[in-house]
Amino acid sequence: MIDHGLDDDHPKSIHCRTAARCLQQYLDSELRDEVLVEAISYHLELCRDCGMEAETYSRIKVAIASEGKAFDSETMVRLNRFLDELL
Amino acid sequence: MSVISESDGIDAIGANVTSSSRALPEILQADRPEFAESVRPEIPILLHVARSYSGAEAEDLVQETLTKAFRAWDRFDGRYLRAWLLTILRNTAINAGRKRRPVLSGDAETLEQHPDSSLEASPQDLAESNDFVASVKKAILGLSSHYRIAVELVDIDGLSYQEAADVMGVPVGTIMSRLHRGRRQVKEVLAEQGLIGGEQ
Ligand SMILES: [Zn+2]
Repeated sequence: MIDHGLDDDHPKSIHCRTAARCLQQYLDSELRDEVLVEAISYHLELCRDCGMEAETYSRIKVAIASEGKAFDSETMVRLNRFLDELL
Repeated sequence: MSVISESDGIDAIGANVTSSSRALPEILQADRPEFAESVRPEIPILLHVARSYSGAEAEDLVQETLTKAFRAWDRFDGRYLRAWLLTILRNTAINAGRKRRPVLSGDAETLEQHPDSSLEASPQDLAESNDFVASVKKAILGLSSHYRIAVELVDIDGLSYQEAADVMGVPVGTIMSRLHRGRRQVKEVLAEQGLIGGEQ
């Protein structure tokens, strides 16, 4: 049996430290363990501190992602043309 | 466009790209449209990763990668296209860096996209950019390049941990710790500026 770090008294609940340890992987959709994923989302809804931590990191993630969206289209056009000319 | 000529021959690199520059075998003809169709969606990611390696020369690096990939297309096993392309790009960047650095040729004003010196934001700078996104960007620039590239590969390019690990040539666990530390530093910078609550 896998140790999910689940709290025995509350089968669906996990400790804050487990949530913290898995938070980045959770936010990056890198957690393969569905039981753990569900337990973490449940915990984040109920635990104020962990929920806020998760929200902060999501906002940071979104802000970083927005940096990359500004691809200058000229470069993209040139590279796509380069690809066509390779053929 | 300028860089390609010097290394028109294909370097012996990790992606099993070993042939030299020569006329393409006829068998390739049929695969050409398939090559373009498969590779085109990956161009934005190639460009971004190239920028993380070489700033102003990123476009050349992508062109060189596309050229090598095209020549090696008949040896691509059909799996993990992105990882394959990124491996070619990484090895090309490493080879180019070895040849060129520290002589940064040509247009000086566009050279470094992410100058590490920009981490020295004065307190006044910080006070003025009290916008969350702007502060995050500034904080990212202040990270050491190992952390910054890991964070950018995952958050901007949407690479999986495994893909990011392949690009950086490190184990997945290393990517995870770089991500954790990089993001935590960003968070600490934001907390210092009062943009978010402090450390728990
Ligand atoms: Zn908690």
